Amino acid sequence: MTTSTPGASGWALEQLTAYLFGLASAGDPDAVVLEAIDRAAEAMEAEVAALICDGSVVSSIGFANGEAPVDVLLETVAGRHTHADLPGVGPCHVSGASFESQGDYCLVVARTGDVAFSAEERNLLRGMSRALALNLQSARVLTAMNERQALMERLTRILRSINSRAPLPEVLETIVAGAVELIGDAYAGLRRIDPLDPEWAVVLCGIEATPGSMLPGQRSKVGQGAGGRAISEQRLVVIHDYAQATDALPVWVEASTQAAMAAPVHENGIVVGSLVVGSVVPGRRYSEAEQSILMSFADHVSLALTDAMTTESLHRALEAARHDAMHDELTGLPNRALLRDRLEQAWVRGCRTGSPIALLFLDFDDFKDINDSLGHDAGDRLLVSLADRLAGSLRPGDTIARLGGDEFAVLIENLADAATAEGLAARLLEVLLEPVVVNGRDVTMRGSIGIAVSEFTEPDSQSLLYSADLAMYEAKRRGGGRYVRYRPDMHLDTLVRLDTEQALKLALSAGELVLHYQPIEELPSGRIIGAEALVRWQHPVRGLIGPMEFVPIAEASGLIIRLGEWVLRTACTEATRWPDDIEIAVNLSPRQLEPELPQMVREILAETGLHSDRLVLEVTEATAMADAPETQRIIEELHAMGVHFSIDDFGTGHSSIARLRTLPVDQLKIDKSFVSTLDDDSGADVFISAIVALAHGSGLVAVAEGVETPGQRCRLVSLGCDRAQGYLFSRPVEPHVISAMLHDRVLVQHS
Amino acid sequence: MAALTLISEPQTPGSVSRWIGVGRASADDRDGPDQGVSGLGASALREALGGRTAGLIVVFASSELDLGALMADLSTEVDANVPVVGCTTAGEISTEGPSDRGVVVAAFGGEDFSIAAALAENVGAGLREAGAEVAKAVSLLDDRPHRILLLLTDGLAGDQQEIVRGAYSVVGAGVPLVGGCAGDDQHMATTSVFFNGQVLTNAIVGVAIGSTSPFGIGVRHGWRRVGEPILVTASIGTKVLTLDDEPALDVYLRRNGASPDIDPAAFARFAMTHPLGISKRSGEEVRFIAGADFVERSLQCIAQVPQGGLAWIMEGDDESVLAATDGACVDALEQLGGREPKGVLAFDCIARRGVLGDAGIEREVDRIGAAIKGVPVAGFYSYGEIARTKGTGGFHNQTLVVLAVS
Repeated sequence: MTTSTPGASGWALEQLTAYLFGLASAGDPDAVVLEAIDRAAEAMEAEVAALICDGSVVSSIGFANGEAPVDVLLETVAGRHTHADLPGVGPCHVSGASFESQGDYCLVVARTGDVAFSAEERNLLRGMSRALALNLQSARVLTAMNERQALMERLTRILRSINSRAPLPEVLETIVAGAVELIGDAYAGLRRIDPLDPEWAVVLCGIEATPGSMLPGQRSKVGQGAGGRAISEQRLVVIHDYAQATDALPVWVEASTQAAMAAPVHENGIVVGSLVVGSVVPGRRYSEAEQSILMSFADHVSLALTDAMTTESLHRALEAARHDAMHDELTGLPNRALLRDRLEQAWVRGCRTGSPIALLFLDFDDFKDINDSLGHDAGDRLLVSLADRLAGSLRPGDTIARLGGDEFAVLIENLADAATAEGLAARLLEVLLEPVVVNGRDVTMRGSIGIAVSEFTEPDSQSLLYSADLAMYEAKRRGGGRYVRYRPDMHLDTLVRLDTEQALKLALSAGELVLHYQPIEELPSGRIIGAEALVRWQHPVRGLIGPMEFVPIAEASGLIIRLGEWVLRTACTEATRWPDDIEIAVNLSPRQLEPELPQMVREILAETGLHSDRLVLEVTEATAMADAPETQRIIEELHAMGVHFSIDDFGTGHSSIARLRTLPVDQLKIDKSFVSTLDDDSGADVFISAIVALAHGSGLVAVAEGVETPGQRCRLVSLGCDRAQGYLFSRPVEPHVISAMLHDRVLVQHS
Repeated sequence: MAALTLISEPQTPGSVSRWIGVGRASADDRDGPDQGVSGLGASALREALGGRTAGLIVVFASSELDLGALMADLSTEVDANVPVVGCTTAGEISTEGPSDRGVVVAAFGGEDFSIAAALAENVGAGLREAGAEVAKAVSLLDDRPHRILLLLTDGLAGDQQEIVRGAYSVVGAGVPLVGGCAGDDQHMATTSVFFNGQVLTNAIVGVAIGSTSPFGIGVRHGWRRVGEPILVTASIGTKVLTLDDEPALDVYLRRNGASPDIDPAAFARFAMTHPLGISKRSGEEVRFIAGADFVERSLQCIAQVPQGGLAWIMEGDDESVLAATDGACVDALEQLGGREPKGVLAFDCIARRGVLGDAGIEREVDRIGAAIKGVPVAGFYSYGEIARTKGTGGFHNQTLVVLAVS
């Protein structure tokens, strides 16, 4: 081999180019360093080369077993010496170049032989060290990005397993395995505070290289070791030189732990444990990146734990919701849905075994009065205590359910005979009678019970509930405080009622309902001053049906609201076609006296253009006299709009004169039962005279209804009654007839 | 990778303090159909031992021999605790001259030597680690002032420089590395190493030798630059993709005046004597071109050709190659500090044999014998040579490496 001194600067440039290519092809920082010292030594034909950072050797070449004499090298470079006697190598020429790259680095080369490093070689080394600084930096960035990528992928996997509701232990193992993989340490584990003894932490799951160091179930003191301190100090704890740490865990020291770090894990924001990693590599130091990776993993453990707890509470909430869906909130008794279910099951069992079942339908009598007089809270408390009492009177296995309001049902299985059910009903009514103290007052409650006993001839289980309901109504109808057994004819009555209700609903839509109008005359002039609207059902088969046949059904079903609105609108519309001094009287159902009524009236008046003082709303005496502040308010509001009120059927109920004074009503209608007796001198005129006097004394107009004879009319005039209506003048007539009458101001005589 | 280490037992009392013996046997020397190769190993071994007890047996044998039989043959003649190491060749070298289809045995004996041998198998996955592994044998030597590590490797196992780097990382600059890569009579198919009766591919053998007396190592190639330098514009490891931004094969053939349509077989023969030289601080290193990709138009070398460096077309002739032989011997002997050599090991590139021809290698071996004053010489024509005496690089191509043992 020829030996020649490096020639032109072309040589150095060539070496540097090859060196740069070499560094560029290296991936991570370690490979960059290895490539750099290999190529630097090769280029200079140096036997040894080393990269030193902050006083320690990062990597070296040419020293036996990698044991570079760092002190000698540093001394030589620092002292700007060019020679050194290196152990294992001998006398050498030495050259070094320093650079900064997250630490003080020095790239040193040394070679044996006679040829000292030339100026060109020393420049080359400086160039190489600068290139190394740059490449090291970019390799670090690249590695950090790759690590970040790996971290993201790992975290994504973890999130996926959390989201897919993998079992918690599986999720935790994935996290611990991920931490070990990314941080590259020998062992890792998750510790959790022992709930029974919070001074201690227990290993939940672990990955270990050294047997015994991370066994699940292993206990260690909170506050000791990295894991224990992460819990007590609630922060990331890093311990380098583990064996020297004052709080080192003996088992970890035995396992040759060199370094450990731990991050706290939280459950709903409270520290419940820690994620720990440990290394057995001498000189192991955790970088900032690794510390943040561990924190990241610990955060994911927290997420998984919190999520698992959330799932558990969600599960509990669902259980509760399921319970709630099947139980009555107030009394805690099974509700209608659960009763239906149990009834169905009992029915199926009964069909199989043949032993009859019975259903008792119980409703308190006049419970509404309690609510009205004592308030809803008191009513609720009463319901609860009565429900308890009823439930306590049953046999085990019987079901009592609250169906709503004050309705209860009791399901009895394996019934010996019908008498057993009646005995139970009697007992229940009896226990109800014992007084309950509510708001400091003794309250006694009566009830009505309908009993339906099944022999399994019904079409289905639910019809039993319906039968018991019917029987209960029968008990109510008979005055309450009793039980009644169901009979099939009760069913038939109801079927008629239901048919009517359904048909009425259709009639309303189909325009089968019509209004007829009965004129009201002024006494004694005989001039028509108004008309009362009366609803009729023009049934396609049955012909014209009077209100008594369908209005009560409409009231019971709630259809009255729609019906009432239709009547009011139709009547007002009709009245606009009349002379504008004619009043229109419309009957109001008690159920129409709702807070929405004034607004509805206002809209209808606006719609039709009818002046409000032409409208007279008739309410029954019972409705008007009920001590209901709401009713009073509604009447006052309507009155303020200019609408007049008339008290219908006056004299049939109980009126309070004081109340009459406070109500803004304008008319009293004398019930026809008084008028019809005027002829026979039965003393009815005394009553009528009193009512007229009362009316006048209160500034009201007295109107007589059901006037059928001239004699009656004559008496009414003499008694001072202001107005009259009845068949004497005209029966209720179709719209076009009343319209003609009003325009002609004549009463059409009907035969 | 699996590794095995053997430490030689102390020498028999009464033997001289250190000695080297070489024996040779060749199938070509035998006449008659029945002679075959049977007994070749034992014959060469007996000649090398000359009745002495050795601490190390080094065997260089043609890959065309029945190697299993040869190993069995040798094993019967040597104590089990004596390392018997070696490799296959592309021709053997001995005191008597070059040979083919033969076996050359070198025996090292005497108390002055301390010997430890190690084997690494399945090295392909980690050549550097394998080099480091066998190098640990050095730490097992008894205290001797002079130490070397002899490396015999499977020449077709991969980048041999990696093995050298691995060994160097363990022994450091204080222990020279020397050796060669096994050959297979130019079949380029299977090269093997020997380790105590076994014939192994994808393996390397390391023999740490300590001595009271110095070793000398000479390294010369005898090639010279032709024409202008060429820039290595793209390379990956040992593969050269482009030279001067042109396909490497095209540039190489044009600069050598060869036909661009050369067929692969002719190319292999041509390339053997037309290496590339790459620029080094103290001259140039030679890169043997083992083959080419005729589609990709790239060159496949057996050692790294750094991208960004300069390369040259190299040429050699009888005179330059033989001059290098002389130079290597002189360099090796010079390092003995005036002591007489006891024996010489030679690792000579198959490409040099290609330049010299059969007659030329007779002259070469004669000149080695003359240079070393007739002491025993054993060696082989190799697929790569190892000598790390300075710098960190230690893998050579088209080179003669001479180890002189005083």
